[in-house]
Amino acid sequence: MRQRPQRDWVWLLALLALSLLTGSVQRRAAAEGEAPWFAGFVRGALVPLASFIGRALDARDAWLFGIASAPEVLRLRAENARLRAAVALYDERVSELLGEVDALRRFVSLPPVPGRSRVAADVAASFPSENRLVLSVGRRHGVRPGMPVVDGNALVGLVRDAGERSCTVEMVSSPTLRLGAMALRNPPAAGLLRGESLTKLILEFLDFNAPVANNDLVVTSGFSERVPRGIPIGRIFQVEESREFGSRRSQVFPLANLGAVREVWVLR
Amino acid sequence: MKGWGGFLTAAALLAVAAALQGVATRLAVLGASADYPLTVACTLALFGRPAGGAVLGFAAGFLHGCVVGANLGYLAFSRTLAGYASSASRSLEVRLSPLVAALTVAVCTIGAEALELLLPPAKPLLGSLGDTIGTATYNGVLAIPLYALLSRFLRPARP
Repeated sequence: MRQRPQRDWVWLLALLALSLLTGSVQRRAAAEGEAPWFAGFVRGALVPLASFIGRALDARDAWLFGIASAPEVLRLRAENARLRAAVALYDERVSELLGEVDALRRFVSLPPVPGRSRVAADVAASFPSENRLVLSVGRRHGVRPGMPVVDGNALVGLVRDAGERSCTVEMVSSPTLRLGAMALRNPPAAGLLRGESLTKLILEFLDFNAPVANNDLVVTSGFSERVPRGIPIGRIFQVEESREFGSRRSQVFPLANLGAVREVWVLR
Repeated sequence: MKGWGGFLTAAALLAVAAALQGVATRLAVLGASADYPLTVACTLALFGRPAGGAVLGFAAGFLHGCVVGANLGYLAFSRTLAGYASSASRSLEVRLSPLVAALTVAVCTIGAEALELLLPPAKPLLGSLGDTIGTATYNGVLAIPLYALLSRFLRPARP
């Protein structure tokens, strides 16, 4: 009995060492754009359960919403059908124009533009405080690290690591994510975007004299192998400049509702 | 908490807690989200010895980190300490009750979350403090029914 407290300490120290070891394995795997094998195993077992709980909550929300606003639901259904028909028309025209662009790029021996095809995914788990999402698609569906993830309106984040059937997404709100972006102007003002919080991103401009103003739309700059140009990110709501340091930056409000995103597209 | 029954109960509860963590923001109350694996680990730890508490804490951090894809080293490290502290708190010889369990879980949550503030990247102190207090309160409230339920099936180990 007298040895027990000592044994507790040994267990504690061993587990703390094991924690640091697993962290180091995770960092090494992340450097290669993969999740460690044990994380893939745990996610494989728990993501279906998380998805099930998420669907149960969706059903509860839909039921409550349906009771509270039945006439509104009917109106929205009709509007949804009209919009689907309109989108079908545009889709045809857009794919025709994209085909032309691809043909012209091939003609001058340029590589294809990334992000042309897309994979629909459910958000199996959402961790806004860690700026992470877990999606229900993985390498099996052609998802690779670095691919952009969008919701209906705007960029949500980039795939961080991909397992066989699931992947994690680092949201644009993450302070550790750096992304080429530009304010849509003539000429466009390019810079580097990083996250600060779910409602505030920071765009640091490369040119101190970049002509930007509040309400400018910020989109991806496309200076990347995986992220295409022109995906909307947010709108500028404040411009700050520091003449001493020769820097100019703006605060950007993200267009995607990062705290409540449920379904997304991964652009391949 | 001993034997296969205890092990399976702990494993099942931690698995459900880790899955629930994926929808934690949808179950938020007044902007505060719970940390389900940490709550389960710290509450279960009250029924075992400190070594068991450390194992439970490690498992909670490990599952949480694997599902989120977040900093696994930090999560497992901080939760191991929290589980150990939760179980070791019984040496204070305060009679266990749901309220004591709630307080223990809340304090352990604050300790575990405070470690995160030391890690880069730097976070706004006031915002993080507010989040931590919210999570600790939520965890403490959840610990009350959880402890009451578990105490019907499990017997606390002697401190």
